[in-house]
Amino acid sequence: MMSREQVSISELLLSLDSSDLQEAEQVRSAVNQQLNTDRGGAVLSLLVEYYLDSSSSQAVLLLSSIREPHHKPLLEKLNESLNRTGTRPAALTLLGHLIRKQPPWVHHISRSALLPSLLRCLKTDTDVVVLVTGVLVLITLLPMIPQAGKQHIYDFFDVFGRLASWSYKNPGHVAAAQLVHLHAGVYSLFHRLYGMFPCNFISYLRLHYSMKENLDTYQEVIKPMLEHIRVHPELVTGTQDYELDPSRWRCYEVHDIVIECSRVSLDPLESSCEEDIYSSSSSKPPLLSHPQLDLTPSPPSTEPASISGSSVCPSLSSHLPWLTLSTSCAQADDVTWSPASHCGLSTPPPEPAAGSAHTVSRSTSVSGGKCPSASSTPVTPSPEDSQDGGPPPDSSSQVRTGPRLDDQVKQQPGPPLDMSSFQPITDEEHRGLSDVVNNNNSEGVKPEESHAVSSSSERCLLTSTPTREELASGLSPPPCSISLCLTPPHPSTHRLGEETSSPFGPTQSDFSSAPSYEPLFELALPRAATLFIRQKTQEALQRAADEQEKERRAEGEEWEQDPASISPLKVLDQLIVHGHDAHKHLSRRWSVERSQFGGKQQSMKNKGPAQGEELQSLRSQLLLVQGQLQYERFKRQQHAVRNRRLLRRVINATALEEHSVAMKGQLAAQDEEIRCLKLSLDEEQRRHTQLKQEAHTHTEQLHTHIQQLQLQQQDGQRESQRLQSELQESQTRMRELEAELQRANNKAYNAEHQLTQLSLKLCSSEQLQQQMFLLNQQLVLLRETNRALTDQLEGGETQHWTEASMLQCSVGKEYQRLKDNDVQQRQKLEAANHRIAELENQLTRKDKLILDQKILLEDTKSQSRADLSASDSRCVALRRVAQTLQMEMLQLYSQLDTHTHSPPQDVLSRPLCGSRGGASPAQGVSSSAVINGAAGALSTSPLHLPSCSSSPLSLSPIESPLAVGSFLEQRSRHLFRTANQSPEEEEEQDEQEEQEEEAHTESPCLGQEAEEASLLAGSPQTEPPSLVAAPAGAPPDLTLAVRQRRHELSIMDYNETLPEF
Amino acid sequence: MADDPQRNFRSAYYEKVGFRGVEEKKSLEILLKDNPLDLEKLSTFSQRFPLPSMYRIHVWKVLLGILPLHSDSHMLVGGYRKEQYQDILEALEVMRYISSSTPSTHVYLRMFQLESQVLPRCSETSPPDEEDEDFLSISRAMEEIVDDPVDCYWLIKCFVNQFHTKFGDSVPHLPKSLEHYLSQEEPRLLNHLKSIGALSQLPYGLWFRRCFAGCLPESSLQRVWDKVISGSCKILVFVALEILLSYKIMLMGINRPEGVVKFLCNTPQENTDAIVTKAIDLWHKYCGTPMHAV
Repeated sequence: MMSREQVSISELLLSLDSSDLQEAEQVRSAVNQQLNTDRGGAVLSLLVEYYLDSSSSQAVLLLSSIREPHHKPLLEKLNESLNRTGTRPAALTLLGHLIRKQPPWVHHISRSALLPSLLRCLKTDTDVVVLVTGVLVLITLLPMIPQAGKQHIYDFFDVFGRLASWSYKNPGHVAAAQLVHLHAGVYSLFHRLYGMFPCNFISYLRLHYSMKENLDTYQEVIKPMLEHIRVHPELVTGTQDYELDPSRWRCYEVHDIVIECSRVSLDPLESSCEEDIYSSSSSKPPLLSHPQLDLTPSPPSTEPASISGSSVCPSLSSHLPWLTLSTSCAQADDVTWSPASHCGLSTPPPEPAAGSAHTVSRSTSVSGGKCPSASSTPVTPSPEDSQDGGPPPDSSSQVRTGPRLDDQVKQQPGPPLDMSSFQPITDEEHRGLSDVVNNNNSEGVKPEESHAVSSSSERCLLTSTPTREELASGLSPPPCSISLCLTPPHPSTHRLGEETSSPFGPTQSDFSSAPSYEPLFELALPRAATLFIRQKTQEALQRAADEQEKERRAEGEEWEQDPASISPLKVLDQLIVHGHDAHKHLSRRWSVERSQFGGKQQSMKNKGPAQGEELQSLRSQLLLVQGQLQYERFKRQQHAVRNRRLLRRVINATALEEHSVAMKGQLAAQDEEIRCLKLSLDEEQRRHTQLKQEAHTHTEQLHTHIQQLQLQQQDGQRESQRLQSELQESQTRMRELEAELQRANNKAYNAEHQLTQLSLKLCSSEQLQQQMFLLNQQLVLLRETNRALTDQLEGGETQHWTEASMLQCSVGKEYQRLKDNDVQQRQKLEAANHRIAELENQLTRKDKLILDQKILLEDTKSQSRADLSASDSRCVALRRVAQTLQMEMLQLYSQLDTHTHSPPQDVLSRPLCGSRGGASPAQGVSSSAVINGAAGALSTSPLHLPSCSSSPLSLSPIESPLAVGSFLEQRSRHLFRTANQSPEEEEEQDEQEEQEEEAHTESPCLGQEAEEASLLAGSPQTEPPSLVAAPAGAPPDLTLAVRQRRHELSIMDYNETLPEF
Repeated sequence: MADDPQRNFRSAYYEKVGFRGVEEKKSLEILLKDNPLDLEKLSTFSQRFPLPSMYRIHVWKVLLGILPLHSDSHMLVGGYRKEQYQDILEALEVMRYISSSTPSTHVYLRMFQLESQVLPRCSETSPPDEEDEDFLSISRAMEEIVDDPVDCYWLIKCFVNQFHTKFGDSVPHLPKSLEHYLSQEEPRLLNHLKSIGALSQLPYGLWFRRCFAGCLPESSLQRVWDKVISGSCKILVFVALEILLSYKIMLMGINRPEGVVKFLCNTPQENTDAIVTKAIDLWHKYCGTPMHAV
């Protein structure tokens, strides 16, 4: 099972790189599946081994896609293969591939055994290819596992120290070209270590190169490197321990670290793109200070060397290509010289371009564009004059530069003597380098060049991106790489190219056919290429001389021109360019014989085993170049990542800026508004104050007015008071005057009164006077009479005295008596009055009493009347009864009569009568008795008192009351009469009935009846008195009574009785 | 009367809250205490209020003149009345009009005839005519009301006499008046009666000449007679009206005049008190309450 699987896998792996794309895809998916299900890492190890055998790109792809749990066997396998010498380069290459993919398990490398073995390998191995590849792997790996510095920092440093010394001392006597690679790797490692661990690294350098045995290495290798870095800020703030702290890297990503490292670099090929403009310009003052100074103020003036063919101003500084990188790519076709080439070169960040020509592989399209342009414009601008030609102020034209360079080259032997102290070292180095180049060129340039030409012609229309893929595939690395090498280098390389070309000059000068190819080359490398070619031709001319010497001199001249040390990367670039040229020459040489399919292998075959060694070295070189290329690509990716981030930031920043601008606009508008409002506020305030003032003045006016009015009012009050007081005064005066007047009036009245009194008195006094007079007269008279009388009295005075006294006494007595009499009379009168009152009282009482009596009488009368009516009704009822009885009796009688007609009827009737009436005394007068009864009934009428019936003869006692004649009597009579009337009628009725009955019965006592009838019919007066004397006293009595009664009744008749009464 | 201290001050409110007859007895007693009885007041009282049964006979006697107004002579007059009654009774017995077996109503009839001098001869006694029947039914009713035969006879006699003398002229007009009131109260019934021709055949004689004697039970009848005795014959109309209204549904259902007459002559004896009460109310409503000072 396992074996079969392995077999199948190995078979699968064999078909992995088949040409059929679909099959390859299927196999890849199958292998991938098996990888995922792989347990013990068998498939993985098989895959690794397959790669180690074939260097298959598909295998790399598969391996780089493995997941986390499978990384351990992979790492173990890698470690294992790394420890084996045979597989070491391939393992390193694979490791580099894997690392550059940045798999998620990359940080596990720091803990795995792979890292120590890698370091050990770097420390011990002597193969340059291995070393360079390892160094590049290490450099790539360092930013990914920064925390590994904690344990391995000194390993890193040791590696650096070893490689630095190795590259300097070259104990393995490797080729110069490989040494250049190694140098470049050391240079990059230096930058990386310095960028990541500055303090530790500096202290290490200090320690390590303070030793004497390392001093020359320091001088030759380290010191130039130190010239390309600036002071790391961490050297000021950081410490050794802090640098090693893993937490320091926590917030750093890989590209951050890469950029951080490149930031401290002064080398434009190494420094970061962010600081390109500044850092490069600032870092290049020694290099470009003059041209820059010349260029920036007035580019044309400093560029008199502008050539007709160049559409772009030749005086463009190094800035221009950088700025117009990508846009001019397409222009490369139709423009004689255009920045298109530069663009192609500079599309990736500057470091890759500067690092090596491999990285420029991406701009292979430019190489395509190079083909037509090569023929179109023979004229090449010389922008390098402005750049490099700063020091030579007379470098105005290309033509002139050529000679000048020639001169320079010629002069080279001289200047090296004047060079600085370290010039020998550089000379040595460059000599070594040039030696290598020479060797290489002499050996392998031809085939390469031939192939390059073919490939370049083939790839005219190819675009850049796909080539990259092919490059990565690595199936035919040599041709590709070389074709890529044809791409125009970075402008900076152009610049430097003319300088670095000198070492390669001799090698290229070997090829005589170079001029024919020049136009093409010039097109691709507008500036540097022409220069380079010219230089090459010159060098070819000078080839007779000692090449190395010349190179060294050229180098020295360059060093003279460039005070700063040359970056190893530039050297590497130059080397690659040189290799490219050599390749071109070679390819052209073989292009006649070889078809386009001729790869490297073909060429190798063609060359045969004679050139096997050379091929081997070339292959290793190619590996180195490829490694470098991968490294640079990695850097480029990091930069791209960073650029994207920066772009986002820029976008954000611009958005923020716009926002802030808008806000500013708003702010301005609001400011304006506020200003307007303030203005209006001021205006309002002003108006307000004005109004206030107005109001104030108005109120003041009103106040003054009020005060005035108050004053006036006070005046008026005072006036009115004064007037009032005056009024009061006048009133009081008036009153006084009135009083006075009254008094005067009084006086007047008094006086009048007195006057009248006086007049009265006067009158009376007059009367009195008269009276007096009269009295006097009387007095006189009386005196006279008195005298006379006294005379008389003197005679009988005593007699008169007694008589008078007696009379007086009698008068007094009489008066007394009369007085008593009077009193008596008065008392009598009083008594009489009293009596009168009493009597009147009695009278009223009597009246009242009488009234009461009357009422009582009325009452009793009504009572008695009611009684009477009751008894009357009873009587009536009795009469009815009697009548009925009579009727009954009569009926009975009639029945009897009709039956018998005999006297016994009487007998029969008598007892009946007796039994009935009971009261009838005589039987014979039964009928009359009946009549009497009727009369009796009549007599028992209310008119008669019970006593009346007993003595019918006597006059009715009513008589006496009649005699009294009171009103009551009259009334009673009246009443009686009314009561009597109905009996009378009844009587009459009765009589008639009786008559009828008599007629019927023919009673015997007819006479009596007749008598009675006559009595009744006739007047009472006619009734003879004999009746009174009748034996039966009752009937006469009755008749009499009746008569009497009639009489009385007739009396009641007012018409007759009144006169009689 | 109003300022009589004996009078309960609440009396004014009794009637308002629906108690009747609380104060009437007292008022009547006060009335009866007057020595010459005030006939007018008595009759007004009787018209306005139902008489207490214990005083009814007495009041009736006074109102009908059987007893005088002076209470002093009541004894005497009562004696007279009794004697008169006995006299007549004796005479009738002697004349063999009556015997001990004769029903009292017939006795009363004979007595009344005797007193009104219409007593037929014994041999000529005829079956009682309509008038006699009226008298008999009235006397039958009165006999139930009054126990004492003397009083009974006197009340019958005076009642009949008074009715004839007082209302003899207005009785023939009562049917018309009944029709008038019926048209006001229940025209539908009137129309119904008219349509079936029963209006002229209604038992007017029973109602107006006999004063509902024999039609209403005595307990209800005496309340009607109170009013009649106290001087109103209109009450008869309203009683008749109320009877018609009370049995309206039945009457509406009868379509033959004979059926109506038959039904009305034999009206159920229950619920007559309510009928009478309603009739009195109706009477008061139409003729007004006699407001003579009581």
